[in-house]
Amino acid sequence: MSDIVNEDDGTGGTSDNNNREYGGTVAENDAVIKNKPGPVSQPGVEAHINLRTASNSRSEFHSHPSGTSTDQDRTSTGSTSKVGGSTTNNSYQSDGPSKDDIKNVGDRTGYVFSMSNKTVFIYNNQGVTATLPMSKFAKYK
Amino acid sequence: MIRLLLISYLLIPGFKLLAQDYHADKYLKLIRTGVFNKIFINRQPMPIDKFRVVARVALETIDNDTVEVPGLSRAEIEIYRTLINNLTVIDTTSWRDSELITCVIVPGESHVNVEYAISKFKPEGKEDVKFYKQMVDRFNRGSYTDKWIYTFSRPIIDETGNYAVLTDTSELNMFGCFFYKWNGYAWKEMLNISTRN
Repeated sequence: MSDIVNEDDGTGGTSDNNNREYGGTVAENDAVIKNKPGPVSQPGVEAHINLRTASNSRSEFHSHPSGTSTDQDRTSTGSTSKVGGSTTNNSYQSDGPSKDDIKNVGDRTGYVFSMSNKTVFIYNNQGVTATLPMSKFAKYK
Repeated sequence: MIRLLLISYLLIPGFKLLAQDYHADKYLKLIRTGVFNKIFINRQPMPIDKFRVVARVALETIDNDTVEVPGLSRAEIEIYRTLINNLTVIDTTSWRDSELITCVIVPGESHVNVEYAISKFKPEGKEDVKFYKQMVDRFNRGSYTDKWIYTFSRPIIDETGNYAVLTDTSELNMFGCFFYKWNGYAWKEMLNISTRN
């Protein structure tokens, strides 16, 4: 996972690599499957990625870019998961998983890598269950 | 002979009713599996043109992918493709509370009644009630784009009754396309192509 999301080097700016989302899935046999990266986001337009999960996917992950578009509040919940998202990031992407992230994770475990502050958010369909620094996240390189 | 005819005459309608119940139950199971819990749902299901757009993006994603789909053969993927491509009509009957027992059904842009929403979300304690009340209040005060309403399609099911597709969209053109297969007693999500942001 880390190797895939690290295509965004976390330094922000306007480079294509730092303004798109990377992600994939982890199968039951621990195989990490990289998905096609999301499109390069334009200033003011939220970055996204279309993830493809199958019946044998037990985890999914994606990054939130370190790029320098403006912020958007995503703490209000459309799903009712009690998720406390950040509102003060200098990126358009907030730190944690979005409402769509939480809704679509289903019964899998989700990982969001916030590339601007190098934090991993672990979540399920109820919300965030843990956060930790990326440097401590050794699982599934 | 007459007795046999009489027995058939009496039994066949009963079998038909059982079959109808079975299909209705299966349909309801699909909806409850596919439509997510505890969210605001547009009362009007997705129209066919939007369904086509979402489903075809999902098909393109499958086509561009080099990885096999576990649990689905190529022939089965073709079943889904045929189902999507040959679709000419989609059921747009408004969602009913009896179908979506844990979702708040929102009629267009109108406000949501707090008591109604609380009754659907089924809070587990005072803290939950407070949380949901605040959430509904935020929803009612917010502009349309703040409301974050999901629009789900009613499912389309193939003629064997074993393969189904359901789609949704939310604000900012986020979408999901979900491929289900009936395993004899439940619907299993075989493939999920949806936006993360």
